[in-house]
Amino acid sequence: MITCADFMAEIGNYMEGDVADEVRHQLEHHLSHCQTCTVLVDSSRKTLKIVTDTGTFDLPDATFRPIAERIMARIRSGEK
Amino acid sequence: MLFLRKEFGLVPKVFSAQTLRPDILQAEADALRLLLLSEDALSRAQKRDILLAGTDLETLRDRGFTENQVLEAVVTTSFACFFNVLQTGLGAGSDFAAKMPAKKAHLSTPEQRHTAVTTSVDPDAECVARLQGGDLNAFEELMNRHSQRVYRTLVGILGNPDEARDAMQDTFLKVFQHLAGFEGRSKFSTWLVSIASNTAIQRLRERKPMESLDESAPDEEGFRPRQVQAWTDDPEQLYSQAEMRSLIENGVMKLPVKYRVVLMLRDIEQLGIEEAASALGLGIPAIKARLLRGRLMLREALAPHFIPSGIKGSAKGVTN
Repeated sequence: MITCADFMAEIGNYMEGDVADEVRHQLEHHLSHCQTCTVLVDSSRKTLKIVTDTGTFDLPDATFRPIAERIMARIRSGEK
Repeated sequence: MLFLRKEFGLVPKVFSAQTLRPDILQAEADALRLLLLSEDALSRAQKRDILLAGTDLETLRDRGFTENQVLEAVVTTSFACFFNVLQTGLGAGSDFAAKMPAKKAHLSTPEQRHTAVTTSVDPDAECVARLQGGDLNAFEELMNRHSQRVYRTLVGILGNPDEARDAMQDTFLKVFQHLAGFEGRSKFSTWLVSIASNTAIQRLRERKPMESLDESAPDEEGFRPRQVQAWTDDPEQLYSQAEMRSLIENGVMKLPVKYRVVLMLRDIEQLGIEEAASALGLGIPAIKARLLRGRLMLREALAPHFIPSGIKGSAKGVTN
């Protein structure tokens, strides 16, 4: 019987699908009766989804263009 | 002993039987340390399962293990067998009957045997060759291709978009300056991110006593999830794209730097685990641990925005 602490030790590997079948069965058995760990897995998956789906920390081309031009000007002039 | 438990998957009984010869124990531990992989490594649980199940090579490949991991499975099992023989000789009894996954090794053609490091094709190789041949337009192409990646690395470490934009010029000039030293042993993009990372770390050091990115820096052991109420089914429907972006960016910026940069490279920039580890000069286990911690901390910060209001305030947290 695994505890919530055991589950938390493996949650990263579990979410990445990086556990052997036998371990996965044990973890899923724990999830079947532990609401807290079920919520943690579900909300962690949702976190990952919104982080990967939402375009964050974009550098707009209009911002990068002048930076690139300055860099190229210095390189072409032989200045480092 | 901690190293054995963590990296090998168990502490063999022979390590108790040989306590009068610490020199031999040390030599055995050193041999293990040298032979077990630091990159693309198997997890402790995977090693334990492989040792117990005696899975053969073809099955490991079918289950999606990389060739490096298959190699490590063979090395780990070979050591377990060696320790069992040693233990029997010393009268310590065996840990368990470790089974060799290498029994089907002869099925591999010589080309498939992994005694040498294999390299994947670098999509930037052609552009880098043109640049090294003196074509400056190729540098502009490389900058355009990787500006987002460099920017996100810089923001991840510096935690400040204005300073990150400022550091981009330093980074790309350093890349150009050191191009002759780039020998293609890693992908160009990995090398680029490592230069961006070093540039940002140098700036942090100049600015203030830095938060450490070192492997030796202890993780926040005290962190436990506290927000354990169920989230709404479809969080993305609750906010506009701009609001969602703002929520995530604020949450990411509040993470400690060592978690923020890993999450930024892996989840936002979508770098592979190995590439992120290589670029930041960290081991795979450290990257995985920090990624998990960063994701859990970000989940914690976002939770109040996605928990239906009716059930807020009943957090009990994970304590055991």
